[in-house]
Amino acid sequence: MTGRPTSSTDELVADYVRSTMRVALPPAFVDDVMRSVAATPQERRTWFSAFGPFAPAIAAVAATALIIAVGFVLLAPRNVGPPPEPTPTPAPTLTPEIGRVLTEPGDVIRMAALDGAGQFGTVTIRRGEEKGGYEDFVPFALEDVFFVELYVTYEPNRSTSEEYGEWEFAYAVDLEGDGFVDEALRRGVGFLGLEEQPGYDSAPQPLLQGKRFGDEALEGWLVLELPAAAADFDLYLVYGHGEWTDGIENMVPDASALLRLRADPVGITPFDPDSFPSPEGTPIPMPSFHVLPSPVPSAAATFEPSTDIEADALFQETQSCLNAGLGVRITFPGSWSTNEAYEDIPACSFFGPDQIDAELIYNGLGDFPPVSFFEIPSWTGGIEQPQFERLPVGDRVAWRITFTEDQQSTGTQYLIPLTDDPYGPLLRAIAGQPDGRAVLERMLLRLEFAE
Amino acid sequence: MLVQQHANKLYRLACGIVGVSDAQDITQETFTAAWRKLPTLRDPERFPQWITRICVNRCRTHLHANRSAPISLEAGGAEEMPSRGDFRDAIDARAVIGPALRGLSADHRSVLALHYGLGLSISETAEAMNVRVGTAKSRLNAALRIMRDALEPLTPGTTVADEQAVSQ
Repeated sequence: MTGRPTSSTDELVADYVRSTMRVALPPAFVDDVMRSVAATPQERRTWFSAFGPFAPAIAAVAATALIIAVGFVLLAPRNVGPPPEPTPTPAPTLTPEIGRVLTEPGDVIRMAALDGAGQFGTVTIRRGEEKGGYEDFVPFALEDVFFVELYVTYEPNRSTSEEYGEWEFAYAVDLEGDGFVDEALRRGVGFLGLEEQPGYDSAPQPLLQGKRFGDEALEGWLVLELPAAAADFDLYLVYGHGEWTDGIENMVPDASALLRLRADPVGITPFDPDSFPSPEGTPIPMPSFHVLPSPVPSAAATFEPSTDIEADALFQETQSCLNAGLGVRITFPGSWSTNEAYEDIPACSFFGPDQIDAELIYNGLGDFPPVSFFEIPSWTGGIEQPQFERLPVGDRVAWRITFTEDQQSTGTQYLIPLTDDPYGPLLRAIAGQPDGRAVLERMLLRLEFAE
Repeated sequence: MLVQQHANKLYRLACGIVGVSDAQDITQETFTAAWRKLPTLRDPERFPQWITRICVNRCRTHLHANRSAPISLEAGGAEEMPSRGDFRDAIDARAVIGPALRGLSADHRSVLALHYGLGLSISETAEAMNVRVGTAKSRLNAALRIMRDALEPLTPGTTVADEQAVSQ
């Protein structure tokens, strides 16, 4: 199932891409690869490689079971059986701030638009209507969808280099059926080519995706393409940006707003290009965000690692390594490991009790270890209600940021200026888990900056 | 067994992103890297997605490492394309798409190859690129927009396909 190219130029490009990939494997290539693989040592055996010799038998049994199961499904009578029991209404964990509700057409919310220096303006979101479809518009993934229209306005009051903004929506899901939300599943937002729709001429799409706008005011439609099944869940509009795979560059204000309730009927209105959502509505002031404090400390606090006997024991024997990228020597527990350099990840960036493979992390295939050190060119994030502290780490003044359980990020982070410019490059040290904090702080105590 | 099962798809994918001359090396590297790291794969059922992602990342790394003077779509790439009159006479309009496509970033090439070349859905494409669905969509839109911008100056008011139709 592929997206439909929207113009004949797109069609031509798609055809060209397909043609470049319509190739046959070179002769003997598979044999070459198998020889190469056979000559490559594997780090350790997996549970399924141990069962390798039995794979054909297992596959045969599995295939038989699958055929039987599919047969049962195909032969089973449709729409027979007791009606489904209603599940308890979940208590959302993505609780929006008071008043951050966009469930009715005309609802308006306002929130701070943030960058590293604080608030640079205001974002206003006005709830529009729900639509079943648009004239001549084929859903991107050809699935059963409906659409929720929002009108978004960015009003900067100063220039910013912030790249904004990637909007998503989330489901609150009660996996256990016990009335408590277990998980918030996130899905991307469908940006529609509505500029080709009559009446949407002034609505550039995608509207807010990955742009830098300086101090330019911006407004237009943001249309969420929602699968029909999403109507069975409470939905939240979530603001976020930054990609995990490209490095942890931004802290995301978890600016969720309740978009619709699961019990609400899908309020689909017919497509009418002249009927835009009412611009009326009572703006609800949003709670202010906490932002990074001034780089000039008002009072120097004392940096004292939290009391932790186990962490102290870990530091009875230590080892150290040089992170050449940061220009710092890092001392860490003798029983812990660090990484070797891989691509643009310097050696001595990640630390943990288990062996660390930077290649896996680089490829987005491995979890981040308990403690990470890396450089960010400047602070570009904004934070919602964190706990800030300014305190000296060595001869530098750092920010310590502690996240609470209800926030998107977790753990403790330190931001330490690498130069005299407090807005310049920063060493970002992260204890991704609460119990990594004590070790991280003991490492910071022993941190040596190269002269 | 796994090599036979996935070699063709991965080789085609690498052809679509880095070109046929380097695709063989990329594919081989993908399999050896996957073999080395296989014990770290937590969910063996997700092997196809996992190895596809490794292949995409290998291609991206290769393109970054071998980045020569990039082809500017706004300047160099367009200048290399035939003028409007020449274009009408072009036997194969695709001759102008190749240079423009090679000017795309690794991410944009990848999204086109995964979505159009391998026929993956947007969510599967997003998974292979390890990005959100919204990001995959925006990258696809951006890639197509760049290609439109690169091709349409040659054919003001019309599309390449329109031009082809006219020329026939």
